[in-house]
Amino acid sequence: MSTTLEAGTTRRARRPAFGVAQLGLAIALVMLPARFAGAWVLTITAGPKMAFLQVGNGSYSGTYATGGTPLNNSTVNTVSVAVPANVVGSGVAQAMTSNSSQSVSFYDNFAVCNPPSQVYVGGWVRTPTGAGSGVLSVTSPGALTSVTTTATIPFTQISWTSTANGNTAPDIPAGTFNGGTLGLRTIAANTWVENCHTFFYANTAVVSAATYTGQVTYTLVLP
Amino acid sequence: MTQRRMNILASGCCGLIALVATGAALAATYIVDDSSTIPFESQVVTRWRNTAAASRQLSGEIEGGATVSIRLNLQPWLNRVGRIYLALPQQPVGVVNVEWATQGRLLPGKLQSGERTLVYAGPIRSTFIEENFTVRVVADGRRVASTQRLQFHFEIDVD
Repeated sequence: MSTTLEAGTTRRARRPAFGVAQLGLAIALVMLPARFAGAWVLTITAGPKMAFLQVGNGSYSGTYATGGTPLNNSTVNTVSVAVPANVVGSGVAQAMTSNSSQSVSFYDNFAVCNPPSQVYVGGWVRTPTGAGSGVLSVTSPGALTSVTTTATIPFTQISWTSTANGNTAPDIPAGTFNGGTLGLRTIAANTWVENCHTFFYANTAVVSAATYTGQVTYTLVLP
Repeated sequence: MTQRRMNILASGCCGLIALVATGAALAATYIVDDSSTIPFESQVVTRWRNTAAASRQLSGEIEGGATVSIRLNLQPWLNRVGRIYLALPQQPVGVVNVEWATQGRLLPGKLQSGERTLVYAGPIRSTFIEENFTVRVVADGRRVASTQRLQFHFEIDVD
């Protein structure tokens, strides 16, 4: 570094030795890359791949809008309906209710759902570069079963509508369980998708009096 | 204070030129020898920023932090008055925003890639300045597909 002063001095010496000054400048330019070799380097990584899915009650450290991050929540909420004996098999759809208490979106704490009749379903994905998307699906068994009877109820008897406070568009579409895996939608990277589902039992068949249960699983896959 | 980069004279030169030199250096901008500067974390692991946007979009920005032990060799400008800047050239991944906190010997500040920001102004009274920078980097994660090197340097304007 001690040569720095001399480099500047050379420029000042332009009048008595103009040619030398020109040479000095030329040399300085040649050496410029070498000086940058002493610069310090930070290497930043690409953004990590992430996925978040919430069905019913979930957990977040605060909200996304305030810098929160997702937390694990192992709750499996239940949706149910007790069909009065006089309407069993009438074909009049029976609205179901849930034990979910999730009303607010963890995006910004806005009350998007009206539990217990509505169940929150939402999620997002992150990818390096922000391109790509995840695939949301739901898998149901063939039928609801009972421990007190061999009778069953096909899962195709259960359907749902989809809406949200402040956004009536069914971003996660309404549908009917198919006794298998049903694709719901793709979720583009960096987009928070959410809706509130209200479930209905179609009630088109007479079945034995009993309690029938089954569990569905929502899956968000990020390739 | 953020300024666009000025024309820079290289601080290195050859012995032959030194032999014909007389008097003090002109006011000019030089690259400061910071070759003893050591980032405690050379790789900044980033995370996605969480800032709300329209239509429930998630931020495309990534951020990360590191601590850097700064050591500047100011011997060539000893007993002169100068202004030292931290500079980050323009980056192929677009605008990179940098903020740093210090322990007081140099100024805290922020800059965007392609700019420089003042970290010291006044007489150069010691051969070295040592400082710890706590650096926070924010970049457009949609353009950072893999690791990206950010090469910082310090410049000095001397009167």
